[in-house]
Amino acid sequence: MKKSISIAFLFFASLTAFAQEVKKEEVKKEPQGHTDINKFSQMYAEMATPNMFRTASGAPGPAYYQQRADYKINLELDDKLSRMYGSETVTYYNNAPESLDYLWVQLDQNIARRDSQTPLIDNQTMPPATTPENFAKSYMGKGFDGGFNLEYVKDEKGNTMKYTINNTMMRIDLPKALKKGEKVVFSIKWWYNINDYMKDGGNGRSGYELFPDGNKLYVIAQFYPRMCVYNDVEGWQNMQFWGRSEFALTFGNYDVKITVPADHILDGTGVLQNRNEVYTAEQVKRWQLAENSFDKPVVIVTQAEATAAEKGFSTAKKTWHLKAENVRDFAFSTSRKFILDAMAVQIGNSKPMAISMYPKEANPLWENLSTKAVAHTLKTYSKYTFDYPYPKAISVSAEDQGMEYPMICWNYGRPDDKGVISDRVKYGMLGVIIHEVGHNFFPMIVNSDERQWTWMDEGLNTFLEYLTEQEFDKDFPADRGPAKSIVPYMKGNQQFLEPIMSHGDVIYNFGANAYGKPATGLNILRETIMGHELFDHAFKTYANRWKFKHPTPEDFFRTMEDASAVDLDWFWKGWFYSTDVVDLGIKNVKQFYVTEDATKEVKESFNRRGRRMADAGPLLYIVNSESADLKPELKAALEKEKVVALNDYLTKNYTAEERATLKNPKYFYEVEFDKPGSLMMPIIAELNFEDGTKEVHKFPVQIWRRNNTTAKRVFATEKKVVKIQLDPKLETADIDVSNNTWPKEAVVDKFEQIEKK
Amino acid sequence: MNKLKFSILVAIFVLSSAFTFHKFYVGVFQVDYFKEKKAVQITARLFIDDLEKALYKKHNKHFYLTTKDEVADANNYIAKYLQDKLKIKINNKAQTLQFLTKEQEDNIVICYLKINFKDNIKDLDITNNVLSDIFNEQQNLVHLNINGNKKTILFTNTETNQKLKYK
Repeated sequence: MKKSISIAFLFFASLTAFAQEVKKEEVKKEPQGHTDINKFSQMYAEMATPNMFRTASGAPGPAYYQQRADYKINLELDDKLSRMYGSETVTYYNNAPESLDYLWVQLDQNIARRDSQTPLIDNQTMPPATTPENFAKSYMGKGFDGGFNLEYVKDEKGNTMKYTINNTMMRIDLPKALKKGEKVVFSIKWWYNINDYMKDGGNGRSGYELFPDGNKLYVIAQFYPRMCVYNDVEGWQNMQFWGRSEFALTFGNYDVKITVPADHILDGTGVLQNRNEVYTAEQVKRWQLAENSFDKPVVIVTQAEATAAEKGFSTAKKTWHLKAENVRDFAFSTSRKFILDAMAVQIGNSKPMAISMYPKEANPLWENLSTKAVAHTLKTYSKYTFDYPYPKAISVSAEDQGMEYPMICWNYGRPDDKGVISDRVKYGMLGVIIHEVGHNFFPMIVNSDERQWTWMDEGLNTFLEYLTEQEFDKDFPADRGPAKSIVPYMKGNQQFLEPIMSHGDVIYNFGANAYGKPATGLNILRETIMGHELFDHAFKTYANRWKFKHPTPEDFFRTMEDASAVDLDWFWKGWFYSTDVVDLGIKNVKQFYVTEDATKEVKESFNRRGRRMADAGPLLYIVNSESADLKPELKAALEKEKVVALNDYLTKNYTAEERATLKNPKYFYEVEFDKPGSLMMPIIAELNFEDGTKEVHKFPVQIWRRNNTTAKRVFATEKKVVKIQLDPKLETADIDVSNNTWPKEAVVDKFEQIEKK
Repeated sequence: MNKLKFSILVAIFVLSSAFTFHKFYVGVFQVDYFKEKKAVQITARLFIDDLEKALYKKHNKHFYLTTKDEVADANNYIAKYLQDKLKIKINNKAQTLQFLTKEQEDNIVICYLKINFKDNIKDLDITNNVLSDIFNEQQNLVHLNINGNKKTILFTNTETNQKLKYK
């Protein structure tokens, strides 16, 4: 029996070989050679060579180092003039193996200087009408007068240091080179005008919101000269801040004292050192209650207290003292309008506080949902990454905002002027809180370079935001995450698409490119390519390897493979390094029937090859539904008992019990899949049977490994297939689903449907 | 401050900087013409909250689009807004944009519009200010399919008119 199988195999193999020979003869021109253009080729060309700083596994190497900058800052807010006065002492530690001759410091406020380069890179047109105020601002040089005014830069002994400002970057020249392991101490004093972020533009991530009663709600960030990152991949990351691509920041400890009007409520990055001085005795008691309240927030500054405070406009001052360890930045928010509530969150062995600060205009939406959303975010993100290591996370209500800093973020979403809270405002507010609190993990702790790679924090964070939202409320409207939502972007004109691996400043469609597409890519990896277990472990490995460190894209790509044994180079190349699109299709479906009568095709072939048919033993002949050999009576479901050779074989080789467990295929389909899109994906084919039941077959992406363009599979089924549907759950971001069904379905004309109604 | 003043202020300054990091401003339009259908069929995919904001700025009134509180004649306001901001000339003749209906898909509203037309399109002149009148960052991608001839054009707040020629 064994012999006849192998002869049959040889025979079919030679049939195929013969067909190939014929084809070869038709090609007259010598084919041109090429390099390895297979889509599964590995990324040696795209990725940097691994080294002692960063290993091929994607982990920090034995020589990995990072710099450190500690800050001591004193600030005073002039509420009337909206002006910030500050001085800082920075202690900078050089841990790089090489010496540094100068330091680079970021002056982000300078994008709002009157001589800023930032507005000059925008295109302009004449508006049809404008206000005198705007006219003066736009054409008479009376725009907002922002930017840092530096009073001095001094060394530890008080001597003036030489510095040079290039727009948003300042180079401080060191009198002597800073060697490995050494530190340098210097001080800077400055002031700047704080912008009304709804009106003045400039540094829109920070500023104040003006209320009709004259009160201001300050959200203050990028308010101090900040150290640039120096590392093994960029040297100094001193690429200019143009307003969009965000920050690259060094870890360090902060000791910050902030003096504000005495009737303000303030909170920010770090642990409040003088709660007893700045809270009333009653508020201190409520805070202690909150520290033990794990199920709901405790109101610490009440709406009544805030409403009373906002009428005062006190001229007295109060100083708030905050200390933070191992953070990459510092931000705070202050206003006399603030209501504040808080609750404790159990994360592993620690109990960070979830806190919200909001004006009465944000209620009742904020008192009901903000702190709850913060707590849920910390728990969910911790589950997918690492236990949240900071002592707190604050959500501040600031209209038109959505911006993140370590332990604090600004979020939009308030009831409208009629008091209506639509679902859109509610979910918008929840979504932005989850997203911005989530940024504590990426990039505050897993500290990627935002100036260069927007997607590394926004993409990863949007992905976890999606999971967190779905766990918060299974009906949470998801706009970024599901594969089908990215299709309108990915099927757009290639002229307006850039690879995810592009600099943030050059991207046309920033939201879809740097947030939506990477988040969707990770979701596809998790749901369709790797599965939850492998993906979650690898993602967690990346987060843990790089927490409190500076990862690059390659560290992420390499870790995801290293921890899962799933080769993803094809995916990184297609989804992240190119603008390739997914379009799989069903090209052709052939139905086959089984007979014992030798077909003409096989007979002729035997004659041609001079082989005696007897050698092959009894054969089952397979007839294509379009073949001339197909007799009408053959066009029926296979009854295996009626095929003598098969029946004999089964009876001889299997017991009755074994035979009862055999599948009973009756219909045979050979399906040819094609791939008009250049990006590969696993093939997910859903067979729909006559009786309404369905069966999903999934083939790994490696099915495309040889020719990258077509693949064939045979389905032997017990029931008649009435329809084959590719990617039935729309999980692969296939940009054209019109070729996803067999038999082809007519495209529904939406307009005809509408007009019929 | 009067209303006009406010809306112009908003137009020029509120969104001149990229500070709303959660947001982006993109409208996607599909414009199809197949002669046998005797109509130019247009779909506009816009973010609901952006359209809501645009209507609010224009009428100082909340419409609560696609929610249970949506005001009864909201479609008329959307139609008027789109007719005002999306102007199409075919063969040098201004065309009337007919609003058919709208649908919601997650955070997006899909508006269905048509222009009755049955001749050959030789010149197509599109002015698209949809939402770019209030959001400086708004980009409107228009996918055209004129008798199988496909092309995509981009409109921004500084690029509001495009002219195309067909044979």
